Amino acid sequence: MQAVDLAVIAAAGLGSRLGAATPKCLVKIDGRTLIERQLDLVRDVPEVRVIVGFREADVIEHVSRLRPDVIFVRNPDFARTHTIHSLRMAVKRRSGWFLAIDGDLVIEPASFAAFLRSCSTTDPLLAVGPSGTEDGVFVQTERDDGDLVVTGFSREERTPYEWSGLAHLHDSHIRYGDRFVFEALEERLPIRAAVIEAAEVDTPQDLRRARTAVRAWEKAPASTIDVDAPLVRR
Amino acid sequence: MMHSPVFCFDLDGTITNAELLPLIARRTDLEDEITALTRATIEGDIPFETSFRLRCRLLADVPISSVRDIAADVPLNEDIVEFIHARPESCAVATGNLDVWVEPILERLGCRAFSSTAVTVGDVLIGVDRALFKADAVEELRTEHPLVVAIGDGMNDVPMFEAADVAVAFGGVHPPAQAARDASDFVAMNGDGLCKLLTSL
Repeated sequence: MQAVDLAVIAAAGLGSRLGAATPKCLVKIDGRTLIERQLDLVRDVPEVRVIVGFREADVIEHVSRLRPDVIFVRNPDFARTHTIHSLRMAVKRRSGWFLAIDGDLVIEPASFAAFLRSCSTTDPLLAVGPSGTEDGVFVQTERDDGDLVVTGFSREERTPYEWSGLAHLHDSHIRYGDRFVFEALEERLPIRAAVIEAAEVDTPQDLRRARTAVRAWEKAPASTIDVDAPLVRR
Repeated sequence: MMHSPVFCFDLDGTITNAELLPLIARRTDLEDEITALTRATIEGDIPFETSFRLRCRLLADVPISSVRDIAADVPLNEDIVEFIHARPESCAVATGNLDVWVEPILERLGCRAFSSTAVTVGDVLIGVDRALFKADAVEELRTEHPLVVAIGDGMNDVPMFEAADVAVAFGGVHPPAQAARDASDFVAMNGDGLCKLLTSL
């Protein structure tokens, strides 16, 4: 039985740092929007909710054409609120586990599939990636009986891995007052982690990097990522 | 302990896969006119009650029994019908449409309903007695249920959305009117997605 029965994609933001008045999730890489790529990743997840804000009518039209049963969660305050606020709205009154995906992530499909298989309904699971994002959140990790475990988050202390923006969570992990998923999870550390290949699209430079990554993935899908000798990209 | 909510559905264009009044208008020579009025009303360009009274006047030549025959055959959203049939006690319909016209649909649904009321003589519609203000339906449901979820697509659903605890704009037939979307917490674009959401509330 598949552990993941709900995926929530946070796609309310505008890509202001990309310089266009386009919702970030509608930015295209090689002709396919970021959200189209994400919907493809979660095609076997029975329920998908997309948080919409900036130019919501455009996002709703685009997404519902690709997957008609998507539920849209409206966050009209997207410009003044953080991810946790949106996620709270998305799972309001719905108790249980869900997959939270930042809308600006491009994820290598094989590593995403491996992450999905590692999700359980007993413990949260965080996705981490090789460090490389300009203003990333670094994660401190340990090995516990072969499993990768996150023991801390830091903006300053550079480590081989960074928080990716993908996690499998329980609604009870989402607390008032927090802004970001990693903040909400801080008190629950240590938490199991899985490594994914992903690129965050925030700046024009990120977009170019993501495009390069997507093309590389298409040529050579990730099989296993060697977590003991992590690649630090700069 | 969370209380199970009561679900208050709009009828035309939400439960039905077609607006009823334009279907009735096919029996007259005013089909285009009625369709234009319906469209403008859904978008909120004409107040619902004004437009509804006008449209009823235009359709008064059609015998009530003919309208009921049309209503009996109007296609319904199968996911929503299944949802209502599974929990009729927790569902209600709030329609601005006339009681004498939509009764055959409400019988198919088997849940309670709030509607506008008609003045009739025999098989002839004389006029609209009272047009339903949908927020009143929500307030009445609230006396029995602590949580009211409203589902609709048009401008006249906005007062119902504002009075409800959770509002869902539905775009199964056409995208929801902008005002309805702006007043909603969730948007669902087909019956399958809508019912998954409602089941989780």
